[in-house]
Amino acid sequence: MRGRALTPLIATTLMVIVAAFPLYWSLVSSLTPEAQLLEPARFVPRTITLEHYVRLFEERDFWTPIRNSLIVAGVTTLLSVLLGSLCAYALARLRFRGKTPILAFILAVSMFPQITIVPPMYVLLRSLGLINSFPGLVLPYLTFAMPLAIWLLTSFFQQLPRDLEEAAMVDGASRIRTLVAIVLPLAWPGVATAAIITFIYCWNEFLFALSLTVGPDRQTVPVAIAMFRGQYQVPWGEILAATLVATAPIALLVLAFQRRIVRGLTAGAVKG
Amino acid sequence: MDVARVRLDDIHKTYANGRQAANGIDLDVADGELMVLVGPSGCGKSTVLRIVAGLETATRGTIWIGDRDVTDVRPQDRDVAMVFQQYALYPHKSVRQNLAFALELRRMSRLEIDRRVTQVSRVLGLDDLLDGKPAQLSGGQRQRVALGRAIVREPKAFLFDEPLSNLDAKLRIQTRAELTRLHRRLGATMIYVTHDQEEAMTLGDRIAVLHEGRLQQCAPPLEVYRTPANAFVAGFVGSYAMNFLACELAEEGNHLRLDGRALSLTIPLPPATDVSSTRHVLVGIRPEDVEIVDSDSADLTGRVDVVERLGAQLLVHVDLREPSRETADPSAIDRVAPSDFRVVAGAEAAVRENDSVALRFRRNRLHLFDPASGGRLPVRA
Repeated sequence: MRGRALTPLIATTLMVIVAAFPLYWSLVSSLTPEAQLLEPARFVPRTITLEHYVRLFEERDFWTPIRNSLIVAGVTTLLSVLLGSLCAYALARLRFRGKTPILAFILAVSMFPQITIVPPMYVLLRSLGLINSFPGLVLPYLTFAMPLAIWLLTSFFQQLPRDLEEAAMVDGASRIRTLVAIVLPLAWPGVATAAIITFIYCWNEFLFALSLTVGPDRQTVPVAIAMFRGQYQVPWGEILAATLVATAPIALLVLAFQRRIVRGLTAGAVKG
Repeated sequence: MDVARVRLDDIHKTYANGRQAANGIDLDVADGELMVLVGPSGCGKSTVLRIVAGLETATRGTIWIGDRDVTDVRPQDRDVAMVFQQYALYPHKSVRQNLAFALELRRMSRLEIDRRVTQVSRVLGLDDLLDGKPAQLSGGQRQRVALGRAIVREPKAFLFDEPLSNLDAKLRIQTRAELTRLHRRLGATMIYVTHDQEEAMTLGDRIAVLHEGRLQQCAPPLEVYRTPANAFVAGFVGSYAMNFLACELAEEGNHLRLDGRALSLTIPLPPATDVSSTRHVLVGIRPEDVEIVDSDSADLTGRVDVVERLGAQLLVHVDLREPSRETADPSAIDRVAPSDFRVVAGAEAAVRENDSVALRFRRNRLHLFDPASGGRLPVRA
């Protein structure tokens, strides 16, 4: 009994160490005074300082990129889950011609390398006057967020028992009403998963945000961090502090919803 | 209650993959009637029910509910209630909310909703369960909630899709009786789908037997049992499957001579049977219409193969293949005598496996079918 339980325990421990070590290293380094950063590495810091964090928010105004990221990722997530639910429900349940080609097309759209989309997108947004604006980021983000959400949600909806929707319809509910009153509450783990995954994608997105923003007032967190690099020096302490600050909300989100995410990702795998 | 006659007129349904689930079905369910659609799986009975509900569209044909042609009406506007095989209770809603959902959709007043929910839950004994979620209920309780959800609406017609098939045997029989009482009480039009002929016989005012998308017979249960319209219905309806003997038939005075490949017997003419001089027939006899007798009055004899003791009765499987009886006539119907001829006997009957047994048919319970079409041969009443 014990011997058998030991192997997975060791494996798990190793994996946790491998995954958590860079995070730990960042944490330690972000708390180490600038002067000691380039000295030989130590697992336990000699001195602890909050100077990087203080400078991050007082000198660099890190609140602005956080606010920008929250707005852009939040709005994109909201839109793609709202619109994506409607698309996904239609794709999962309604009978119409060309369903499979449409799903394939949606997938194909999200397969384009981002870099090929940036130039035409830039030209398009410039002519619309949306460069360096929130809509100018949300709209491009939807190009990858929507396919993602639609694909996730379609499979969640398909796994729901059809009986329930039929019961609702015979009970007198319209399609939309069925979606709102029956399907969405039941697909909630799936919807939450789709929302969180979309949010994480948007939060981490770099290329669009870099190409389509100009100044610090619309830059998102990843872009802002990249801009820390000066001409002559790299402020490692602040970069690592910023990285941790940027990771924290995602980590909290995933921790808070981890059971739902796991349930969502494995929905239908085992009969509930 | 509204006049809620349900009428199906020449309903066809062909699925995209080419499968024909319904092939010209006409059905007329009277107001307040309980009509049972019965047949083996894949016979199209569920499809027909779903077409009535509006969950499937008929490829051709018309559906009427009351005086209204509902063929192109969406399910939510048909005012029928359906009880699903898997109950299909809304898992995120409490029992009360499950019952109230349809009424809320009709924008009924809170007061009226409460009144109806209370009334129905009292009738079905759901009072104590109203605030629980479906997951907390037993199978039988879920069944009642599913019923309640239909009843509370006071719909034009009730549709049941094998509602008892997920219950254990004892609960099923209990619920079956309850459904009969419920139907009597509500006096509502009901269409009930099942694959279980016993359920059909006990529940239906009339039963409609379906096979391969076609209506085989639609009549009161006893009529279907006594005068099945064809060999399929004869074989499907009845607790124990009917026995069939392929025979060549000749009229000899007031006798019918039945000649099979492995048996040859003469039996008196069933009352007023109209047969042409010689033809091939399928003789049908129910296991309960065969008696075990002394060998001198026997119609045929065979070897007891298996005896199933069912408590009140014995089900005796008789092997009729006997080398000595094999006739050498090559023109006889090309079928062997049945190796599994079933006979119901009293529990005290002295039959032992491998014994020889003499059997006699109840003369007025013989059924004759055309072996090609399966149709019942005309018998003058």
